[in-house]
Amino acid sequence: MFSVPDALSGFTTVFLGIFIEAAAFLMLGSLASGLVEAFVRPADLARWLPKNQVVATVVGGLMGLAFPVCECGVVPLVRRLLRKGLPLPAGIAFLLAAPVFNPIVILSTFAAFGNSPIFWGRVILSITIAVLTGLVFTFNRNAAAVLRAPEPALLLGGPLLETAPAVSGWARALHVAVDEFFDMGRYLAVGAGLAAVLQTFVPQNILLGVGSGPVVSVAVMIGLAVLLSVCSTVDSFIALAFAGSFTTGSVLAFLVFGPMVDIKSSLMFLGVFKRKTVAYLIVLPMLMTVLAAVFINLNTTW
Amino acid sequence: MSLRLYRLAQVGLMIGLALFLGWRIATGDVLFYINQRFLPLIVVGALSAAALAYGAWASRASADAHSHDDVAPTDVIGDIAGARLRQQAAARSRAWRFGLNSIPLLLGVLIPAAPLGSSAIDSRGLNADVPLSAGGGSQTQLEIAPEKRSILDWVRAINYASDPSEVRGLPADVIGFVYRVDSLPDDQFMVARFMVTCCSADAQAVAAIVTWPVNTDLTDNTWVRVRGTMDIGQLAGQSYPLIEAVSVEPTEQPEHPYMYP
Repeated sequence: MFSVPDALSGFTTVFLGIFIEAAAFLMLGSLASGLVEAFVRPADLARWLPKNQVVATVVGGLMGLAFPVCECGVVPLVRRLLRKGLPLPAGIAFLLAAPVFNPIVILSTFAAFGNSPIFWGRVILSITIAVLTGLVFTFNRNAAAVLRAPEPALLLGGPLLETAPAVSGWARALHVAVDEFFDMGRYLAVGAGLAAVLQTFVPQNILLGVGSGPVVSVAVMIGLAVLLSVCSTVDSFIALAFAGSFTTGSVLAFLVFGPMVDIKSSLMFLGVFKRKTVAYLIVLPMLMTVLAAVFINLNTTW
Repeated sequence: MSLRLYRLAQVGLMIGLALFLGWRIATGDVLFYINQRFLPLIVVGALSAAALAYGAWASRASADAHSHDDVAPTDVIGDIAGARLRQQAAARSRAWRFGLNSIPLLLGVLIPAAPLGSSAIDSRGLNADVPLSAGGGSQTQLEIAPEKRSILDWVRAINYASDPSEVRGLPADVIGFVYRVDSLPDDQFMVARFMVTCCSADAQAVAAIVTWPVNTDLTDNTWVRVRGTMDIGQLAGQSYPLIEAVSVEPTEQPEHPYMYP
């Protein structure tokens, strides 16, 4: 069906399409992470955040309004904030909510769907699922227990600089940023590669032809969100193409779950958290998204 | 890979990435990968890559401080064998990190830049039901003069006009690439374009059927300008624009090979 050169060319075009755009966001996220490392003290975070765990988790979910990052940029930023002392539940809520609950994505969703149930459903479900998932982690407040241990390279003063480097201020921010980018960039490269392989060799109509019932349509659109791995800043316009032929709940599932978990972000999670934690970060939002989406399909006329 | 070499490799890779992005922007080939409205983001990406290259360059000092074969003082006193093992693991980790981060630049440099073509339609299928606009839809998009309509405009006209049959007999003049479909007769092919919302990952193909018995050896991915009269055709249970062609001329690939919905 595919001649090798055509397939390789198509793979490369899709791979670079994902990588170029996501890398720009990842670099911005890495720079934000560097700035946090250089200019934010743990004491500042402790002072800014509420002491109550539940309120702090809600605040974590809302932090995307102050840090407008997508699912690529948020990962290094969350890791840095956790290392600076951000409570784990707040960090998890921020990690999952920020790709949707930020001004850019809220505006792009409104541009695509207007003042509609899908717009409000996306915003409300995203923050709710993110905060609920964050709250699960109040049972395990020790960030070190869920964070991946530093690699040997780090222990020897390599990337991530666990010990204070000789530089400070802006130079330190850039120093940290480049290490963050290299650490997360490898997961982005592998994730973009997997997504491009699937897009090149797995016909999408197999997925889209499976069905559009109230339950199956949700599974299909969640699968599509993971497969496409597109940035949350523009996924509304892609979902629009399916709004006419798929159930409202399934389109919402695409818009809520996709920004939280896709191929490239899942791999980036693995660079930050232990595998068991990554499983929680994938399964909990997926279950809640499926439940909400199927409920909407069965009980509303949206 | 020693820490010092790793730092230098980081500098090289980030400079390479900045230059690669700048090169693709300068040649316009970056539009094979993204929607043009994200061009400013890629410019920011190229500048960020340059800034990160500087960050890695400035980090050489601390790398030098650690580069005395990466042996910490405690290692000298204590477990030297263990320290050596950790050094080897660290060197391997850096090499992997650098290798994986190099893949995008290597592919970008080694594989010639090309927009998506016919083989991508094979895996993605054709979109015969495009929303009127990314912003939700406006009937004004149906009021474009027939000769100025793109393939995308014709697909929309068939899907959203109050009376789709009104398109029959209108003059058509479109540019796209040839997409051969086995189920069509020899005197028909499809002329297709990809529309891209964000990047090539979300590309969806739109196409019109062309009836053209004169030159049946046009191959996949050949860019053509098709002029003729519009009709409505069927393929696999879907309605598509059908152009009864009066001329099909090979043409240059457009500066913007994708359309932006």
